[in-house]
Amino acid sequence: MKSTNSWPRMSAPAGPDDPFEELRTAYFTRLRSDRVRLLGLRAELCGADTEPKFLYEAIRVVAHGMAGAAGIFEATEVMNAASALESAARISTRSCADSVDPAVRAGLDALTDLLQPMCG
Amino acid sequence: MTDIADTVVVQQLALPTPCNVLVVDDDDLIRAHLVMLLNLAGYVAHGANSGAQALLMLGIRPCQIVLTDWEMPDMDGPSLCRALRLRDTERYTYVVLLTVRSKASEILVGLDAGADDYVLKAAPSEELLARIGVGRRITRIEHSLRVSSAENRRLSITDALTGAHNRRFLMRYLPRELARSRRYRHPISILSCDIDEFKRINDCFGHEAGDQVLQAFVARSMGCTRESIDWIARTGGEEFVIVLPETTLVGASKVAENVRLAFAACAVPTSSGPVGATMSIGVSALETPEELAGISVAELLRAADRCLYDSKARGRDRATCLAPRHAALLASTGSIGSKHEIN
Repeated sequence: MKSTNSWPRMSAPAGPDDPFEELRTAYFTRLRSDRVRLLGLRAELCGADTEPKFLYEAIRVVAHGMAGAAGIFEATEVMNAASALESAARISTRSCADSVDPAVRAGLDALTDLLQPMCG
Repeated sequence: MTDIADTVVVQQLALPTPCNVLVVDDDDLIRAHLVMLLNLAGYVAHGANSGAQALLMLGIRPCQIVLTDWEMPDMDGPSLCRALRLRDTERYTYVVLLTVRSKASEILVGLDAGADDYVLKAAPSEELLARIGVGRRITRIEHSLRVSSAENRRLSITDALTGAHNRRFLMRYLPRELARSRRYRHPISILSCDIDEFKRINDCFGHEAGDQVLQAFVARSMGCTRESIDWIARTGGEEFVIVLPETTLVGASKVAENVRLAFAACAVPTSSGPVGATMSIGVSALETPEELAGISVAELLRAADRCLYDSKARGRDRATCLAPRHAALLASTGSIGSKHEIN
């Protein structure tokens, strides 16, 4: 397993011959949009307009995608946080919870907080 | 014929081929990353964004290895595995599931679906490449086994000296030819051929020259028969059977004459100098529905042999043809009155 200290690795400028540089840049860009998407889902979850059970699956899908990509791009902390959120969202989806699951909210907070440093 | 198909398989498999890997993932970035990683490692990698697209691509260009994501819309990784295992493909496809799932129960589901291995998305590139390397090794072993199996199958039905089929092939495929003729009520003929005084050739010119005469017989006979339809089997030292599907007795007698003339036309160049040789032929055929239904392979061969013996008895270098129902007379009475002497 690669080092969990992934942020410095991800933030460090890639070498001029790194064939993965372009993909890694694209990954960072997508992380930013993922964070925006998660913040939006969190706002919806905590608002009164939408029943939570309709949001859990959307959160799970986003978290699953983030976990997979983070694994491939060796962003281990992101992968762990996204996996935790995915698990919580899956449990809530199955239980058809009609109130905000604290575990999901905590998972959302943890992941969006983790991504904040790179989003300025 | 199976032997011809096997030869084609051997030729195809013997070609050096790169190791193709198909990466299946609905995430564009992951797919691009893995394709690049594998290409840099010396594989020929391509990407598919869904299970359906993967199946389509594999139908066009088979890959030795499929690296597939587990969770995808429409068709997930295990479903893709199951679909791949249901396909009747010429080569084995090694499947590696790529997943964030690490529970033993989930991994078992993937392996049970037909995956050969799994690798976590969090695994380092080195591990991923090592596991793909295992797949390459296994598919190469499978490839070499398939090549040697096809070659062994070919050799088991081929006469090593002349390249003609052997007795085993004759006894396996002549009944099939006869069954097909019966089903479609089409005629079938056989020529029983024997090189005249072959022992004398061996004694006078040596066995190497004798072998070259045998090879020349097969080569010249093949020039008188239809490619991919008629076939020749070496059934003994200097004995051959030529099978002519869809051929009447009259047609077979013409072929026999062509074969006899082609062989006798000019001396065979051998390591001991030119060797002149002739041959005797017996021809038999099944034409009518009654003959096709009532006469066995053994009887058909016996009838051709009786005609061959008759050709020998009358001085060699000739062909004699009779329908099996008449050929029996040769054995019972020694009469040749009912035969059709070609020359």
